[in-house]
Amino acid sequence: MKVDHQLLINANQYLKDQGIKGQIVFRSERSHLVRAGRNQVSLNTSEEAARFFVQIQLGKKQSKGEFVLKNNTTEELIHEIKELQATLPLLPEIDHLGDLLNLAQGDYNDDHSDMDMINMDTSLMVDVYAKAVNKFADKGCEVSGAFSLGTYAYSIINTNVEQPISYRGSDYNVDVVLQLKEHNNKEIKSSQVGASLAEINADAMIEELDRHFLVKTTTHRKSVPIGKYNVIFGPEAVAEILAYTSWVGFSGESYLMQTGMFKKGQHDIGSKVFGDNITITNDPTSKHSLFKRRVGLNGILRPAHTIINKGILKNLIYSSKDICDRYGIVVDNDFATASFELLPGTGPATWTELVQQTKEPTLYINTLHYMNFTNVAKGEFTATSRFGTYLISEGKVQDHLYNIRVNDSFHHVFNNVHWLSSKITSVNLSSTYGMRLASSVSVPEWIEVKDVPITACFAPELSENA
Amino acid sequence: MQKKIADILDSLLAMGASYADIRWHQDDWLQSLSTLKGILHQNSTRKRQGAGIRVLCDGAWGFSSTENMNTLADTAKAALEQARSAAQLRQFKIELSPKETLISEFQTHTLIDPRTVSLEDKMKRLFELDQLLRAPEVDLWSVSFEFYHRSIYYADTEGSKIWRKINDVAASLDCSGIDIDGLRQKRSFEIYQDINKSVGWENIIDQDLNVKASQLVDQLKEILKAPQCEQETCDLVILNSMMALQVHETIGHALELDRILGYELSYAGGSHVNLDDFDHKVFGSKKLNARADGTTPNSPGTTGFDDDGVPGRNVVLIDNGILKNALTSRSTINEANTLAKRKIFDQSGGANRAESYRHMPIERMNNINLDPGNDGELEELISKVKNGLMVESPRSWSIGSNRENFHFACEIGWKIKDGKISHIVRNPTYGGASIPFWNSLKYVGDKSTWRLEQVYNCGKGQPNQIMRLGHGVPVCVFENVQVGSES
Ligand SMILES: [Zn+2]
Repeated sequence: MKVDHQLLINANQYLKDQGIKGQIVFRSERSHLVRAGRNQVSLNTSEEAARFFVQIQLGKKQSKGEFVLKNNTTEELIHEIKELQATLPLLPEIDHLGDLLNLAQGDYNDDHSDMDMINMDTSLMVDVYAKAVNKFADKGCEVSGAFSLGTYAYSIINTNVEQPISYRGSDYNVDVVLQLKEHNNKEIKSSQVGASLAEINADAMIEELDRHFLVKTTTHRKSVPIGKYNVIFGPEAVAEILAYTSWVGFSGESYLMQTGMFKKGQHDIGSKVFGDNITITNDPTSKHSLFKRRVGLNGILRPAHTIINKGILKNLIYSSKDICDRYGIVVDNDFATASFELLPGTGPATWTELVQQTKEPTLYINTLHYMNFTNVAKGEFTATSRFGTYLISEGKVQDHLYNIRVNDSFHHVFNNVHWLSSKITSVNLSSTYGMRLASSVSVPEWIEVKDVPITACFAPELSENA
Repeated sequence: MQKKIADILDSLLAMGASYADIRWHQDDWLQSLSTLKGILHQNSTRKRQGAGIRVLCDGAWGFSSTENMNTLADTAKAALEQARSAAQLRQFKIELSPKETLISEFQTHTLIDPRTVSLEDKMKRLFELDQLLRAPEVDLWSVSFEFYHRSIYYADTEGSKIWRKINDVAASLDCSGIDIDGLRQKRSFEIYQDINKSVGWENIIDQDLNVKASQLVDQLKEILKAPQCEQETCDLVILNSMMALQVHETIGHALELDRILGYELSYAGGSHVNLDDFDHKVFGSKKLNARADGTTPNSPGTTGFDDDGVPGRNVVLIDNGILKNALTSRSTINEANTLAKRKIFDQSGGANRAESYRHMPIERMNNINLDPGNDGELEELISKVKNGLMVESPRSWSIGSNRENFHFACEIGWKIKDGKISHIVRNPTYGGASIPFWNSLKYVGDKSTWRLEQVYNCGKGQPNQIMRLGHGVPVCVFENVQVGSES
């Protein structure tokens, strides 16, 4: 849905006429989601939404509101602004309240949306699951998964400027999961993420599932004793580790407030925090970045940032206006539209190479399920393995394993990376179509980490010790 | 609008739908207020409206939502198209289990509606509580209030018409500081509800909150210099907010019928429970009695009717340790009974719920409660423990994809020796396998220990839906639990 920019300009003018500072954001989306379970489509939904987010400030007082308007008219929007205005006298002052952000102005209105996604026939989405059912149902598998796609837009104006700045984009993310009913309900999964319909490659997903299917049905399932192991993480697991590290590590606000994993005096800008082989960027211009948004959801230009360069902390990301105002820091980014990338290394680029070069007993973990921080201050986390846990040695996948629990810290992981794959891949992070805003990270297809603590193995016979 | 909704439902039947319903959120209002370190941090009001239309056609579901009520008829057509397209890959024809046709209403019991309280009074109370969290040892603290109101009209093609006016009130207190090892520690509290009282601004002006704020600060001061929780196997006394998490993660989610059937597999996961397990499986010790109770007064999980239009029911899930029932909806029990080749479920448990008009309802917890036991008050429970640990307030949780195991970290722990609390410990964690853990349930506290905890952040489904619900739970004691302080 397109917003009439004149509506934003009119409401902005009203604020100016009233001598009030303010910012108005319009967001809209149109999304489709197909969900599959037990070899059928269990849910097929579509959604459209259009909302205004208004923030006004007068002196050191501030009020915010979010509105769905009946007819999206200037009068309705100004009516809501007036209601917010009326609350200002009742509010306490915020001493640190700074001026509004300097919005990008000029030629920054980007449209990267795939128009084919707007009024599409959802049969195309259903077909992906039909293909998987055709291939695997008669092998005793149940197919499930979710396929989300859609378009979204945002436009921002504030009283420091005359014109709104806007972005339109589209994205899709799809998962296909197989449960091997005739093989103790073991699970495997394949995922894809992209920006346009043309990129969807169902055959590649089927191929990946087939590869895992072969391992799961031709090797024995074993348990492993708890202890430390060298672990090769698959792309979904690497993405999960990177995303969680970004929340507790790369957020400037958590550093300022000391609520994250980097300590003042120990992990300051310029200090060595990770191993030499770790470089992490937040770069909207990177060729690997899937969603190249030059302007964030907050309307400011997103510069290319190196967060970690060869293990050295170079930059943090500041995006919360309130916290930045408190500490007198300038907002320099937007976390919601960040595009983190862990730069690749020289490790194996294919699964075959990976297996062949692995001589010592090494665990492979495809996905980390239900990751959570156990102690944020130490960067400690826990998660269980899922969708493929293997033991590889002597150049061969020897066994597949029961799911295991990992308890490690992001400090330990990024200081003990043995190698990173030379192949880079994008992993979806927007698993829901809430108010659609596509998000992904780019990571090496695989990384190997030394001495990862495995604290439980969920083999049934060991369950009392788990 | 009600006439327009009735016309659209009729037109859907005429176009070939076998069933349809419309949920119209006439008013969907949320106010969020918070402080951070003595300064106003959040002051925002959200006003939405919209409708969700669910259509059953050719045995498959379609769903479409809009925030533009002018285009409701188009939204209905889209939902019908979605159902037809879903039917292209269908193995099992959805047949809704029967329900009573109702013309009815529900309203939260509220004494002082938060929408009628002035912003000035709200600010005054916010900062009064903020002040109580200040201490030299506390370097970060915050108070937050959330007031939620929804006016919902539901109508379906079977003739039900239901009006609901729902209020929820949440408030939380947080304080944190740096411990002797230079690491951050936190104490927090979220208000719970009393089944004999009401839900409204009265919850916020309750003076118990002042006492709680001071307690949190005192406990934090002790945590900052406390010894680490030692790794050992011992008895574990779990206080209410932690019991709520335990029940939530290892009973509630494990017993959602869509999860058991495999419809959540690709995202949230499956369940270690099979259809064969009902009426047989020993889920826990004989002391374990659990329910999915859609009638618990004053809970955010009690909304009068679920989004199938089924009135809230009180369903026994686990009876003296034996698994009896699940969280069910009209859509899934027929399929489950057919697959099991026996009638496990006789009617919908009234647990089909959607976060908002934007979402298709799925099986969600309403109030997953444990019955109080006969093992006494808190002091008596502690006195029965020779060597143990008592824990409160979730800090982190991670659960296996089939809910078969879990690992929890808590904000605070108390070491128990010879039936008495010895000292506070830092960074307590515990974990286990779900079924052996529930079988180690040794004592269940009496009515005096039972509390209705509110949960505001339960996530499930794709698109993800964040649900509000409740857990009425007593304090419980488990034996031989692996505890520690390692992450
Ligand atoms: Zn939950």
